[in-house]
Amino acid sequence: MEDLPQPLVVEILNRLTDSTDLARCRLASKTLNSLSHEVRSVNLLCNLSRYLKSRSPETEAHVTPFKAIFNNLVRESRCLNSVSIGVDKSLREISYDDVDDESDDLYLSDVGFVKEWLPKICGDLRKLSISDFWIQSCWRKSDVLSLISSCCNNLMELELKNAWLSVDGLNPMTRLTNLTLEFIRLEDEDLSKINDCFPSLRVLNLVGVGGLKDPKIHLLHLKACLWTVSNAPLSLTISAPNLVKLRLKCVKPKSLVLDTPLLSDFHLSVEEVYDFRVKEFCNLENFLLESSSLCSLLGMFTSGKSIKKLTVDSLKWNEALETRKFGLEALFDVFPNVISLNLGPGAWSEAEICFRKGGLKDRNAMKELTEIVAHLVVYDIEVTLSFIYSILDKCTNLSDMALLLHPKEDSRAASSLISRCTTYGPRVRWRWGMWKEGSKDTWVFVGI
Amino acid sequence: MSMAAVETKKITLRTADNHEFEVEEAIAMEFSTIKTFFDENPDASEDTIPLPNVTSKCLSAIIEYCKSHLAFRARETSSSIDEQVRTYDEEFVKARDNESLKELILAANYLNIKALLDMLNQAVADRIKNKSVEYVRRFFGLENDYTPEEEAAIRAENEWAFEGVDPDDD
Repeated sequence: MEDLPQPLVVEILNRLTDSTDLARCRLASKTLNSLSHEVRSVNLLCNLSRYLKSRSPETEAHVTPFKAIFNNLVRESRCLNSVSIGVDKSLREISYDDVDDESDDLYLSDVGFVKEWLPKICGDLRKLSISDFWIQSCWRKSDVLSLISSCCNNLMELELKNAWLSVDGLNPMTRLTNLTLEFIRLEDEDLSKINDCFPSLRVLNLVGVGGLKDPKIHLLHLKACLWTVSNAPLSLTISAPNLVKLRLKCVKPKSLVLDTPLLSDFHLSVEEVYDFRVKEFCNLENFLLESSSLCSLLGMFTSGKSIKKLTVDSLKWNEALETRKFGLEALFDVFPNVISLNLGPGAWSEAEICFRKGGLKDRNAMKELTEIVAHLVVYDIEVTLSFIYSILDKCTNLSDMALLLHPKEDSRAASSLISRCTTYGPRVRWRWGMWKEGSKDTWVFVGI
Repeated sequence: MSMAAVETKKITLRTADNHEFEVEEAIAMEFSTIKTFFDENPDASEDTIPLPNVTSKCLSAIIEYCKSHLAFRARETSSSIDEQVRTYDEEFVKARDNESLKELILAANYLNIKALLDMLNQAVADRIKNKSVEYVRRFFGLENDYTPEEEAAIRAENEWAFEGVDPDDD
């Protein structure tokens, strides 16, 4: 069996996601050693084992310092397009109490350290990712953004995690199309520096970025955005004329303003919002809404006509909140053209309570619906059945009904539910499955 | 009730071991080498294309792969389709030994089928991850051409890659 031609071997080596594997390949033969230096990326991750060994008195002398390993890897590579350095997720388990030194051996967003290798490779660099060690980085403000923006003129993707970043001296990076900031304390309260210096962004991911007060995303070319906000900024504004996909998770902003006319795929998770303003959504087809105040949020939603696929769930529904429960009719009032509806367990529970009080009123839009997926919570099987029968009666074009039960349901009751449903709605294609908090839905085909 | 027969154009391919395969044009066009050939020689579509570098075992696996992926692409994109594609790719690779993977890579490279080649290259990278130096040598069919002194020197330079690593199961 002939050997693989060298370009293919380099392709394979390029796909070793950890440079540790690459370094081991060097011992295999001189050819492999030489080819390994053609690899266009360096990816180094400090795992828990290495971290512990570097701190234990018996083994620390035998452990090469992490930053030195990285520096050597970079020096030995001929042409780097992508660099990724970080600490493994398992190091997040380390608590502050276990660490009482001021060492900086894993302080990776340190400008002094980054200056040792970045300027030499910045010409060809397209992707850069630094995943810092929070215990060493959270109390040291880093100017690394200024350094990166001044030398990496061809950078297209930047990812920074677990660091405290200053935006002083941040220069425009007009080629950058993808920016990810995760668990960052950012000294840019309203995101104005981010907007000014990264004008060409297509993809923006802000996950757990703190230090924001009235953040506004204002990006002309943005196509996809993921924004999870854990604290409570006063307002959230997104103005992005080309945005197509948005995942927004927040808690209780006082105001939420969206100027995103081309949005077609939107996931919104928000507990409560006082002022929700949206400039018309003409293209929105796919909408997922999770909230603990569904009723009031639906009341504020004015452009639901284009939505075809709708997923709704209620947050905190099993806590006895004193908010008004929403009824299924409300959905059809706001979203008259829905073809496929997915109800989470919270939404189902609330809608069932409303049904129990006042039945299910007719809506024309119900006749457009062809598919329902529902996560059932059964308190009283007769009420649930009666609700399902009502839905079948009113949604006359329904062809697919997929119901998921929780594993704690009694299996005889479940079987009875299944057989009575299939008898009541013989025209409908029935699917059955199980849902559980924190797990993916699973589907079964013959009984449970 | 009569149904009009759908005319699908077929291309004939002859492998290294002299087997002939008739494939639908859509599948043959997944092989960029063949597509380029037909773009440049539009009248040659009736001829049998010789593939001296591909065995029948390889070609039949590759045809299956392209057929399945064409079918996946024809369906509406969704996360469940993506998962089915992933499962299919995993199964495609799982049962094959290293030698047959290498053969498939060479064939996919020769026929210039980018998606298949990328998938196979990734599968090989996954197989040599966390493996011993001996395993890597055996996989690529390499001889250890280091002198003992050279080997010790390279090992010392890359000692960090062997520090605190879990023992191989190979």
